[in-house]
Amino acid sequence: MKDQTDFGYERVPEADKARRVGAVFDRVAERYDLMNDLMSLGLHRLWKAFAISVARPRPGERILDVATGSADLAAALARRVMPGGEVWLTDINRRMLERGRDRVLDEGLLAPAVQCDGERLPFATGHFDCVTVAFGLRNMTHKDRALAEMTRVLKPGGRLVILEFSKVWKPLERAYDFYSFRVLPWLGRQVAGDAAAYRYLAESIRMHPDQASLAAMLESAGLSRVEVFNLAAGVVAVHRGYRI
Amino acid sequence: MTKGLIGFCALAFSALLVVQTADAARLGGARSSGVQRSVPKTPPAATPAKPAQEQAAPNQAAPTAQPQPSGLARWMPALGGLALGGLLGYLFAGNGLGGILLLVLLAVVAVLAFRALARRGAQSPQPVQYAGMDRQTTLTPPSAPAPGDAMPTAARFPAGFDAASFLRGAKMNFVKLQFANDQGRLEDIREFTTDEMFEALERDIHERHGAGQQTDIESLDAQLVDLATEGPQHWASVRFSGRVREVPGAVPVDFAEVWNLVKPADGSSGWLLAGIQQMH
Repeated sequence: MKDQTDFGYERVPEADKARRVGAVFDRVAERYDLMNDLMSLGLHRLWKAFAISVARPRPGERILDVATGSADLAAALARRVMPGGEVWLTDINRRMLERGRDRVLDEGLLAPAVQCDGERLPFATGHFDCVTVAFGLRNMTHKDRALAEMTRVLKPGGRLVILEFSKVWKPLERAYDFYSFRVLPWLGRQVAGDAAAYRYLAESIRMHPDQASLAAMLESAGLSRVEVFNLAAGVVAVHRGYRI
Repeated sequence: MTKGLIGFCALAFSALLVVQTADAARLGGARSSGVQRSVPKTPPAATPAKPAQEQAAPNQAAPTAQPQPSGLARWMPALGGLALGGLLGYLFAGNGLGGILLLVLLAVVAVLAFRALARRGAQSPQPVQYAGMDRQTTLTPPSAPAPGDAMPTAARFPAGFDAASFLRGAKMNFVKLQFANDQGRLEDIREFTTDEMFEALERDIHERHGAGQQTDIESLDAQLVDLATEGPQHWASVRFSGRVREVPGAVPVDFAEVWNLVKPADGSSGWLLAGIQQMH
């Protein structure tokens, strides 16, 4: 079944995944920020702040934020690369990208926004000092291609920083499963009116490579000095690798 | 000799004054200048204006106002406190106990939050009342419809006028012009201003001898308060508000000013900045 890929626990034709992920985000776009706060107890803000500290943006740098969503990461990055720097927002989903673009503007910052597929980035090779992707890689159909693309657009010495759900510490697995498969879909139904979207979230997290596997994928994509930082007992992890 | 010394001191002091004046950094020097128009005076701002993501978002993306997201502001202190608690637990107890604490807290907060939302949902709907509370009460002109209206301008402006896009463009040009002013880029300023306004702004830049400066906008909201056609010209008055740090390291301050924009009815040029009116 080489033409199939995972969509949560389902197997779907590869060509369908992007469309189905897009449909999920179209449905949850309006409540996206609220749900993030409720689901993570506000911790996603700390996780993003940590990812930014790992990315270490500096004034004058050019940064690409892939799957920018509501631009939490991009807005913070954009402020830190001033003066003289720039942050590019990209997302495959138009509605999420519009939210991100408006959010950045509401903070008095200018950032170009490009709707594109993370697996086919419309940027020149060696163009960015840093590429970030927060809670986006999981939704991509071919993670290896996406990683290769993000590596390609990095300058030599540039870094890729990935913030993503990962494999939780083993003793907590059962509690985490209960939360993911019982509480989350219920919360999704009550708040966002969509249990299926949040069941997809829980399932897609389980299907995502664990810390070591993702680190190996970064190395396969051509990145060096790969490091992993676990947060909240491995509920999420930050991966960083350099293009040497 | 004494006279010379006094003269020198006076010169130095006046130079100091000039520098201090020039420190008021944003475009137009936080003064009213250029064309002044009659726009609705809003009540004095009691609270800082908040960013207006929902409001500024294009309406096709948000056809109806959503009460729940607007409750976020209400929940943030509690969520922030709990998040901090979770973090401290995580830090002090190491991964294992911190993780358990986190999961217990997650469950408790999810239940509490849902209950509160359900209660609010059961009340009479008051869309964007909370998210827009600061902004709406301070910024909505008296003639505008109820604060809950997601597009208060739509009813008062001509059909086909896309207020959301117009305001987004206005905000972008606001930020661009602040940047051009900081960098002393006169040609960029000229592109977006009338001749009279350009002269005033050029004077400001010359007064600080073209020295660079940094204006950090922390939040920016824009509202269209008036749109009119007078003779051969269209006029649009946009009220910008938010918080700005005009001197690096200083505390950001609230600002509110109306930009009067003009455009020839024959379409021979785009919208140009003709005047700035301070609202504070």
